Amino acid sequence: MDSLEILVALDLAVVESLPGGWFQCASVLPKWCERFELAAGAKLRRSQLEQLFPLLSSFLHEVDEFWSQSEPGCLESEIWSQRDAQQAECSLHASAVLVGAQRCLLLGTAGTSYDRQRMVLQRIRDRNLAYERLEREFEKVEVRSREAQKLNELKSDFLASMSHELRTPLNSILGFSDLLSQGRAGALNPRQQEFVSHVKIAADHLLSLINDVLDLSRIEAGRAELQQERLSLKEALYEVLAELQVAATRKDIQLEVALPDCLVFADRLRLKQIVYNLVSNALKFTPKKGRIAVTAAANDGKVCVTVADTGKGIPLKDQKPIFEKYYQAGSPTPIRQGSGLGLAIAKQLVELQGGTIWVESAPGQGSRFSFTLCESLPQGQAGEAAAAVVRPKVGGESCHIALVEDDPPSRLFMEAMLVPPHVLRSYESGSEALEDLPRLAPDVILLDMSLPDMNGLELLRRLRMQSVLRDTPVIAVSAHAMAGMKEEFLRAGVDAYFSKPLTDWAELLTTIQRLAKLKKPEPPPASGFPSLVRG
Amino acid sequence: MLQKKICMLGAYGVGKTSLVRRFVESIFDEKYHTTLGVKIDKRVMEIGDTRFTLVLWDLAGDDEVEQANLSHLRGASGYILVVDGCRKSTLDRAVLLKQRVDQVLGPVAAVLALNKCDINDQWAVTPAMVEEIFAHHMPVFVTSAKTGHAVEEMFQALAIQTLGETTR
Repeated sequence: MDSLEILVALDLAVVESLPGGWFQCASVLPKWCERFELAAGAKLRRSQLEQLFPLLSSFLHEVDEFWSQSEPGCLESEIWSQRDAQQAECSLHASAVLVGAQRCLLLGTAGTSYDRQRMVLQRIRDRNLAYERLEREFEKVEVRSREAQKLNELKSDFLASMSHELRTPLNSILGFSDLLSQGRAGALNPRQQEFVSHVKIAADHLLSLINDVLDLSRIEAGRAELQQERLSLKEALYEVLAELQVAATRKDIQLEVALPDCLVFADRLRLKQIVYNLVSNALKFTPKKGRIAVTAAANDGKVCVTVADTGKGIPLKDQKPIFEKYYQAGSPTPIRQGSGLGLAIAKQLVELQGGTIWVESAPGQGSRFSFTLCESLPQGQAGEAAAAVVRPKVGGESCHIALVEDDPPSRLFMEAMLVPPHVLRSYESGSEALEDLPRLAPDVILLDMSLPDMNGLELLRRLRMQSVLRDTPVIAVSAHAMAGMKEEFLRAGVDAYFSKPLTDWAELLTTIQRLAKLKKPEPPPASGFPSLVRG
Repeated sequence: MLQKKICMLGAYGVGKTSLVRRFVESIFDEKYHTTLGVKIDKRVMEIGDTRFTLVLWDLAGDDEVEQANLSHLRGASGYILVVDGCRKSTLDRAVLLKQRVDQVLGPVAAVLALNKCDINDQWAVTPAMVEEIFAHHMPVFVTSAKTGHAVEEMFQALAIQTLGETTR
C-alpha cells in the first residue's frame, strides 16, 4: 500500500508548514478539494488556513510551541464541527507532527469513535437533565405539600376554635332546656313545654351538625382514631336502633330489624354512627306509612349490613355522588335537609374499617344501602361478648366536688345539676381555685380547660404541685372537641374527659363517683364543705 | 471581510447550540443534541455600512471550564453567556464562567441570554435575579431559541458592541 492509499484510507489531508507563515497543501484528496477548496500544491497564508478551518486559530498557538520544542511525536486537536463549502456540517480533527525537519498538519474527518463519544455524553446529559427536572418537580411538590399542610393546620385550628365557640353556648342551651323540661325551675304549661321542646330539638340538630363537620374534618385529616374490637353486631346495633325507633314511630314509619347473632371486628361507636347515619337518611326520605328494614348476613368472613327503605328511590346518576360531601340526590340546591355529610361520613367510616359501602336503588322502588364489616368469631359466641358489656349504674354516695368554670351559664347549669347529696363549690378563675382548693381538698375537681387567667393544663400542673391535691381526680370538661385534645388532656394528667355540650349526664355522675372512690383518704378539710358555695 | 469571533458560553443544556441555529439557520430542533468539542458556525451581518462575518464558537457546556476550553477563547471579540431560566444552577455557573473569561479575555463585548422564555411558567430564575448580578457588566436579553424571541436583537447588540471596540 503506497502513502496515497494510506491517506485515502484514513481520509486525511496533509498540510506542510513552511517558513514565513506559509502552509502548503502537500497531499490533498479530491474529496477535500471539493469540500474545503484545498488544491494540492497550493500555498496558503496562515490566516487563510484559519479562515478555512477556524479552530486552527486556537490550535496553531499550541502547535507553534510543540514544533518549537523539536521533539518527535504528535499533538492532537480537539474535535470540532463546522460547515464545508456546500454548507454541510462535518466533524474534523487535526494532528500536528514533526517528521525530521518537516512540520506537518494532518487534517481528518472524525469517524465513528466521535459519534460514539457524543452518544455517551448525550446519554449522560439527558440523564442529568432528567434528574434535574425531577428534582425541580420534587421541590415544587414539597412546597405544595408544605402549603397544604399549613392550610390544613389552619383549618384544624379554625375548626377547633369554632367548635369551642359553638359548643360553649350549646352546653347552656341544651342543659337549661333539660332543666326547664324536667320542671326544675317550676312546672311548665303545655305551650311552654312545647316551646322548650323546640329549643331542645333545634339545639340537638345544631349539635349534630357541628359533630358531623368535626367528624369529617377529623377523618379527612387522618386523625380519626378507631378502637376496633370484637363485638356483637346485634347488641351494638340494637343500642342505636332503639334511639331511631322513636323517630320512626313519630313519622309513622315501620322500622324492622332482623339481625343474626354474629360477632364483628369493628369500632363500636363508629359502627353505631354508620347505622345511625344510614337509618336517619332513610327516615328523611321515606314517606309516612313507609317501611325501613335493617338486616345483616354473614358470608365468607364478611358481614353485610343492609338498610332498605320504601322511599322514592335514587336515580342512577345520583348513586355514586350521593356519598360525596354536601350532595343530596334530586336537590337543586346542595343541601335540603341535614348537613349533607351523613352518607359521606358513613362511607369514610366503613372504608376506615376495611369495608365497602354501596347503594342499589331505582326511582319509585326504594333504596338499599349496604356495607360490609369483617366477621370476627363463629356464630353462637355473641351472647358471651354481649354479656361482657357492663353498664355503669348512676347515683350513689355524696361527693365533694370543686368546679372551675368561667362561663356563667355553664357554671349555673352544673350547679343546678350537681345537687345534694353532692356538695359543690365553684370557682370562676384558675387563680381563685389555686388559692382555695388546697384548703378545701375536694373529692373530685371538674375543670374547664379554657379559663381566662390561665389554661386548664397550667392550672392542672400547679394543682398537682400541691401535696394535698396530688392524687385528687380531675375531670376535664371542655368544648375543645377536636381530635387529639382528649388524649392531650389525659396525657397531662386528667383522669377523665367530657366534651361540651354535656349530653350524657348520667355518665358524668358515674365517673365522678367512680373517681371519688379511688381518691386516697385525706385528712378532713380545715373548714366545712358547704352544700353549695360560689368561689 | 472583517471577522468577529464570538464564543457561546454556559452550562450544558442551556440552549447555546439552539441559539446559534436559530440565528444562523432560523430553525429550532426540539431534541437536545449535546455538543462535543467545539461547533463553529458563521453568519454574515451588516450594520450600517459595515459588512462582516460573525464566527460563532459554540463551546461544549462542560461542568468546569477546562484549560482546553479557555484556549478557545483566544482572539474572541465577545461572548454570550447563556442561562436556562428553568435551572438556577446555570445562573451560578454563568457567574463562575464570567470570572474565568474575564481573566483570559479582559474586558470584551458581552451579553447575557436568559433563555427558554417560551416556558417561563417553569422558570426558577427571574430577570430581576439576573439583572441584579449582571446588569452592571453586560446587557441582559430574555430569549427563546424556540420562538426566536429577542435572538436577532441579542446578536445584533453584541455585534454593535464588538464594532464599537474596533473603532475605538
